[in-house]
Amino acid sequence: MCMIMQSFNNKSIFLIVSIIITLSLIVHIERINTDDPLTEFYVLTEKNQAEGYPLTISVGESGVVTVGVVNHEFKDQNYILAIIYEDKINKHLITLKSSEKWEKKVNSNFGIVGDHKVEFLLFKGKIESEEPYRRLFLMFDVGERDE
Amino acid sequence: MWVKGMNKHLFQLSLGLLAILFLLYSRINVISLGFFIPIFFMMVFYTFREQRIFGLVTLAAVGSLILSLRFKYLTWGDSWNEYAMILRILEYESLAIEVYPSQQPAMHLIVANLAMITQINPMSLMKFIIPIFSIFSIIFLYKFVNDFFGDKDLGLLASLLLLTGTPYLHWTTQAVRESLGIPMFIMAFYFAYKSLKSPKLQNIIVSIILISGLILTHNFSSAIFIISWLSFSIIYVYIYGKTRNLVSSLAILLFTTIIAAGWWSLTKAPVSYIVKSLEIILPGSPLITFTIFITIIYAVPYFFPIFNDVFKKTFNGFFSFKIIKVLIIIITIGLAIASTELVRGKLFLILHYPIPMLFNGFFMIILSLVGLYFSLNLRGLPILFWIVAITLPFILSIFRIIPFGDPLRFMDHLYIPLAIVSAIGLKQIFMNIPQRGLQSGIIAMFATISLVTAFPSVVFWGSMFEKGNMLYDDRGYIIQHDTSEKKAIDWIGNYYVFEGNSKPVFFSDNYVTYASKSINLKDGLILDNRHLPNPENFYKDDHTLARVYSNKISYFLITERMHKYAEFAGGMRHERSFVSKEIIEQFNEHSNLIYDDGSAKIYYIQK
Repeated sequence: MCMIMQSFNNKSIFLIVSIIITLSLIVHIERINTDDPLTEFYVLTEKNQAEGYPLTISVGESGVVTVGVVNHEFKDQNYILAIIYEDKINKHLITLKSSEKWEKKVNSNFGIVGDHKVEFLLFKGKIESEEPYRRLFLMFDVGERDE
Repeated sequence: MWVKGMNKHLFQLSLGLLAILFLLYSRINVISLGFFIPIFFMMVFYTFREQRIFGLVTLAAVGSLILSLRFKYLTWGDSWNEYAMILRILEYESLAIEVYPSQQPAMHLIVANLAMITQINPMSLMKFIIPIFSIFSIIFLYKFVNDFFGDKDLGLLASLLLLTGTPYLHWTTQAVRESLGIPMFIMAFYFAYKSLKSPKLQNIIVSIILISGLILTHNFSSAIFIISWLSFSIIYVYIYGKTRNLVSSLAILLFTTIIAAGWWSLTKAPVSYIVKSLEIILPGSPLITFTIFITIIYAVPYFFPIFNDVFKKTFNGFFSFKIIKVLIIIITIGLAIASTELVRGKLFLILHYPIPMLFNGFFMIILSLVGLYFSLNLRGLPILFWIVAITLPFILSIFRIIPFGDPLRFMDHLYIPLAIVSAIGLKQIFMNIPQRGLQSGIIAMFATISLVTAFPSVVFWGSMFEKGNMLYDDRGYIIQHDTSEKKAIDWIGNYYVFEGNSKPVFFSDNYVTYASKSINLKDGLILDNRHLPNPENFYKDDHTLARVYSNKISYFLITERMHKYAEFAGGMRHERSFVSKEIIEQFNEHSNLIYDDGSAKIYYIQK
């Protein structure tokens, strides 16, 4: 009887430990990110909203938007942000730690009436490659300045 | 002896835990799936060879958790709808129909309360807690078959066939109302049967509690329970009729019907059309008329004491003709072909399941035909009438004689009695194979192949096969939702603004839209999955959807997956499609691209 109890106790301990290990692993793997690394790249309005972008403006008027980058690559990451419009290029070097977010307000103003495409290109690393890693654009309708 | 018993339990538990660990680790390295499959084979082999009920418990747990362990997020589409309902309960702390449209609260309340108490993410709770309930399905099916036929092996076979059945796996693995509804159904059926067989008060009370739980869990399952119980218990009473059988079976039927009908009408459930149909058939006071009518049908043996003998003699005489048995089997084959045509996409629904996925269904049909031959007797009659009760609306809805969006939904409940009849067929085959080891090998092989082929190849092969390959299954594109899609949806949820009457419109395909319900708890967005509109002249050209298109802000979420496979519009109108390069070029020219995380992109148009 004593042996049976001892045997039962050892097995009970084995059982409890096994279940605890399995449950801990489930919790651990549920919490860690097991997916492919990625970077979020986005553009918001000046008020950090995804509506009411200043897409209809006048010549000389500033269209201010917020550009954001979030690093989910699970490592420190360098990026180059290039903003291209009316043959102008503005570049920013960004270094982000894992899960870090970067946001910056950028200002576009146009000298010519018409439709203008502003491109936001994000390159991974410190050197620009041919193809951007991420790409966004906004279409601006630029009208005459109101007198 | 006792210690030996403990060793066997520990061995089975260890196999179960190992299977869980390999499935879990497959998120990091899919090679581990190669270890899971032989372990599952061993689990089935050992369970049947040693007649271990505990083995059924471990198998049911492992089988139900496959998708939860394999994938990070919820799978398919329906489970996202359930998730949104749970979030709504947490957000509003109310079950009012305006904020909680589902009105089938059992599952949602369990998860919401657990989330509140434990402070654990409701998605994780839902993924792991709800499928685990399927253990009860398997155990109570075993108990039912064991009690009904007095055969332990038959109980084991029926449980093993059910737990690896394709429709059963489909619903139990994805944490939806069916995942809780099916176990509630089987438990309620088992206790209702117990009260029929031995009408003790405690059996009736337990069955009434379980039926109430079933009604609060899943409307469709409770409707199927009513027709299943009606047909099963009437035949049982006609064969074994005693006054005590009549009272308990009738009490359970009337209780279920009245409470369910009341609940459906109160909550304006889609199945309340059954109640409306009843009102048309039985004008005036339909429930009173129904009660009188059903009572008379049940009470026939008591009005005519010789009825039982006449009934039994008639059926025995009927089944003694082989030609009758052959005719019944031919009719069954015809119905099976009609169902297979439906699954193969040749009838109404646009479904194109790959050939390997039909493995389980094909062999279940063969086994059930063998089982049918040996069940055409008084003992098997209540089970056969249970099958007929579900098959009838299933076939009528396939041929659109009764309105039902997706006839395949009957399959998950039909598989329960079908597993019993198939088990009878398999048992007959096994009578010609005396070696227990060989029998165990056959059932283990069948169960393992059924499990592996029940899911698209991404689940057990880790990747999709090319078009043209026998294992190509386009459901592989939609079974899982990736981080990129989830991040894009959450981004919209964080940054969209709704301050007036004109809500922003969010366009995407069915599966992204399902996942997006979790960000729309305040109904501030219009989720539109009917089709992806062409952005050129967006506000000018399309007059058919003027109400939606006149809205000020529109978002279009397009994922990499949608370039290969997308589905638009729900129910019978759903279309398989893809987003072409031409459409993307249109978006590049006539809209704004405001979000890009590599695989998911959000385009934006404002008026």
